[in-house]
Amino acid sequence: MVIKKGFPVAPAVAFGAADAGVEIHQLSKWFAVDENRVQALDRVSLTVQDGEFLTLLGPSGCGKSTLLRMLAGLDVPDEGDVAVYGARVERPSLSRGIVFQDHRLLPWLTVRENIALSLHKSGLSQQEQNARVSELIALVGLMGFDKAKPYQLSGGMSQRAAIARALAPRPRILLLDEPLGALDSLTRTRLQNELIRLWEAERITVVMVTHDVEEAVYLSSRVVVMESRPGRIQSIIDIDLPRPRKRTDVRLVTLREQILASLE
Amino acid sequence: MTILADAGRRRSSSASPFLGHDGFVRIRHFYNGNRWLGAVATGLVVPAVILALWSLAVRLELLAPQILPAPSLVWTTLSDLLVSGDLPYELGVSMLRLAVGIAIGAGLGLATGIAFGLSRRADAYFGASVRAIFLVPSLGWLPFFMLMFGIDETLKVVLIAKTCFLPLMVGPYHAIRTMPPKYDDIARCLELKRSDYLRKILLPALLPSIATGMRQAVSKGWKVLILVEMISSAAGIGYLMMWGRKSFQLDVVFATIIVIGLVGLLFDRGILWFERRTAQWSLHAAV
Repeated sequence: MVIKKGFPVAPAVAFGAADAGVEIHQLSKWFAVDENRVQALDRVSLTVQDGEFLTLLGPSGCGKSTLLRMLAGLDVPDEGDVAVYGARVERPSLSRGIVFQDHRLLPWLTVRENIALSLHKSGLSQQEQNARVSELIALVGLMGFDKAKPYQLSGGMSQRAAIARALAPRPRILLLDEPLGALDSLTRTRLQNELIRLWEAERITVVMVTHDVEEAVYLSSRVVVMESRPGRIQSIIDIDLPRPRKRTDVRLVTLREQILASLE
Repeated sequence: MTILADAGRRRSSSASPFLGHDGFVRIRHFYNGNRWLGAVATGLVVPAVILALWSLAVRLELLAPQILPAPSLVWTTLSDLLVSGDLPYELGVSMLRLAVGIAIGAGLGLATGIAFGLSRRADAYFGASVRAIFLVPSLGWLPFFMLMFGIDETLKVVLIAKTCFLPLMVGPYHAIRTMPPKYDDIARCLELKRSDYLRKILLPALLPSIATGMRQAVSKGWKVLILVEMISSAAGIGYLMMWGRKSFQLDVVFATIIVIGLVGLLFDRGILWFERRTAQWSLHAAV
């Protein structure tokens, strides 16, 4: 549990090294708001290790979602670079799964069709695709809901389907943009445990955006605390507690209090 | 306050204690099974009243029988026209014109709406002109169309096509412009090809507006077809009606009025049913 204050230095290794999961180098981003240029991110540098569960935590307006969108390739940085598994991010890719706060399933497709949609570049035969979708439906616990339309699902179930869709093409990294933010606390707690289970089962890198300190501390191997105006990294906190963790663990509670205090 | 309290009490007492759960369910089953019949019966109340007033007016001889024929005579004429094959033939002619006109007009309208929705440049260049042209009422174009296309089938088809163009253009156009950007995010994240984007995202997202546009197009097209058939035609249901007027057979006129109204209603209900089916998700989707 080492708290490193201040800006992390740029990685010493060459940029775009394939062994690091994610490399963000001196990234800045501005937005135009009523003819004013507002800086959303200011020279952010960060390295995410392969297989890590990393959370971007911070108040609204700190640019954490913008940062994630740039990892996904949905936005492009104005300055700096982003590379995922050695490849510079230029556009969205199925090799980087993403889940948003709202499920964004296509409302006119069934759960099965929605998940299958992300397999069109997989090179699998139709039967293999069907098998893969069934496997995912089982993985996220949606058995029996293959033919349900999104409007027939609860919020938690829709999010499970969205996670399945993101995982279908076997990405090495899963990007989560406040995926549990709109759920009630019981569903939320259950899905947090599911996320850990999926992360351990699939052995993938997870970068999650959240504003829930407890969620960040409970799930992550590292928490990146961000501050706003302009958005930058305030501190990075290693959470090397063994799993499975207990929410009531004194060390977790202490960490949560520390982070909350630093955010005030 | 007392009324509210009373209403509350009445509702709670009528729900289950007397009927019991099974009884309640049974009544609901009965009601569900016959909901369609019930709706038809309710819808027939006003026609029945009109029919009664009509009969009364004829019996009291309020109007000359040449102007207001007896319902029984209209009924006889209607069945004669049906049996002789005249009515089915004229109706068939009208339907064919309508089908061709809608296919052309709706197809072009939809394509134009999608094109204007997707391309701001196309909209900027052509949008205003196309809208202005199509906002001139169909009948306003009729004199020109008559000189241009003659008075044959082409005229009817062109006029229907013109009428059906705008409803199919406007709805889908606005649906594209107001489409949430999140669908684009998803299309990009899933690396969908342009053709897949059109087929799997854009078109399904437009279906509700297409269905609504179709409903408008069919009802407007049907009306304008009857009009143009009355003005210049040698066949069709509108022609039959005009023939009835010219030969002073008001029973034929009334018979065709009834048929035109019923067919129009049938179209409307049919497309409404289709609209509800295709757009089921949009009625539920709060997003």
